[in-house]
Amino acid sequence: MKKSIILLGIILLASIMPTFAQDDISPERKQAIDSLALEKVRDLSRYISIIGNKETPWSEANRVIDRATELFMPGSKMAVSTLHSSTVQYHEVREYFNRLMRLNYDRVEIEWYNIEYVSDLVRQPDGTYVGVITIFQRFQAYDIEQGLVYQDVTKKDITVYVKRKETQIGGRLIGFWDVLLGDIRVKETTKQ
Amino acid sequence: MKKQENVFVLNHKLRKALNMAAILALAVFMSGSLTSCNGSKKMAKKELENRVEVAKQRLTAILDSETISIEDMEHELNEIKSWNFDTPKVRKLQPQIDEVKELMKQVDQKIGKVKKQQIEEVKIRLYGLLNNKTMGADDLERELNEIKALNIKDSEVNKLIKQVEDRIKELREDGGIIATNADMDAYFNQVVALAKTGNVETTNMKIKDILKFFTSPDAPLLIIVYKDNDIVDYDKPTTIGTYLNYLKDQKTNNNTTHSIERDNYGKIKLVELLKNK
Repeated sequence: MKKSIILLGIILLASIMPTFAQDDISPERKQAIDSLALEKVRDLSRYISIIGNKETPWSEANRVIDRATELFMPGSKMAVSTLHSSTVQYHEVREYFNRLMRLNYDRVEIEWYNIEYVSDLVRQPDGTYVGVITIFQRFQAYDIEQGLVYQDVTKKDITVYVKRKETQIGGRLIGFWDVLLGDIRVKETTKQ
Repeated sequence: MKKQENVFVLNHKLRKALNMAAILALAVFMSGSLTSCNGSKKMAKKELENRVEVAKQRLTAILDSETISIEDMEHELNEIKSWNFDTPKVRKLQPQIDEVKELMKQVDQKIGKVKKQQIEEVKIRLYGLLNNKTMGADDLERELNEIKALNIKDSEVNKLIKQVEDRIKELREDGGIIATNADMDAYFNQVVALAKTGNVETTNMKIKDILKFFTSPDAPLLIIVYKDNDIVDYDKPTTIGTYLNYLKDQKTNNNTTHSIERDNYGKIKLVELLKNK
């Protein structure tokens, strides 16, 4: 009886071993995932700059809005702050991009910098890796007559979700890391 | 009167002597000329013998050789033909001359056979060039020039050469072809370079041009982000159309082409990129 229990234990252990093995990814592989997630945030930064740019043709801006929206998990929200108000407003990301495109200035410059992890990607029980990336956004708005009329620097936190998925392409099974951005929260807004 | 008789006797003797000398000289001359005629005949025969022997050797060498070019064969044969074995009739050498003529006939046949073979080979090469969907205009032209240098006179070969020339022209008008991974990277970098100028219209035109090489703008594009033996991790799969616009938007290319898959018509149906470290 005792032997049977031990044997059963060994069988059970053997059956769950592959699961542990899958979770145990090498530092190099983890590094590649970290870099991929950071790259998605940099991509978003560039998209925001294009959408906000008044010289971007309308059709291009709309195409870029589609691409930028695809980076987010459905229902994700973007926090918006100004120096004029202490309240932070939240908009669905597509709505935020549409508002950004229509901002009532003659020229808008948006730049993201110091993009880095504040919380490393950590594997959750469901296999999703979750981390937080922080960015600094410099926003500058210009009027054709008055020049620079508004500027601020906002520190924002972006939650990042990375999950391994599989798909069939050209008869091949492709394993890929699906990186999706979650809510973007405002940490602080300063004049400079 | 006695003196006159003496002069007459002297003259008669001199004339006789002179006649004798003339006859002797003629005889000497005749005998000499007969000897020289016999010698030149012998020399001609000897020379013919030599030529027959040389011709046999050279013709046999041509027939035995598997590497001799058509030009060399033709050159050798024409030279041997110019020796004209028909003119001097030397009955004794006739069998050898006939042998040479037979060898010449065989060499003629060999030239014809090799030419036919060469035409077939060139046709295969030309069909290969026409069906090759990956070669660029420059490579096609280089191959074609090699074929043209063979100077083959054949109507079908000429027709195929013309078709390859038309294809080269078409390719040049289309702005080239994506033949290698490096070509693909070059096109991606062109999009980035144009995007950096800020001219959206020109960049979009370039993207449209590049898309001609693909089965459709929806042809899958995969980016390998990590690879270690059997473990291969990709970024989320995208399409070539989306990726070209991505390059335009981001104004940077951080990937290198890893592999290209084509359909039966040479159009690219899948691209795999490798993320630069």
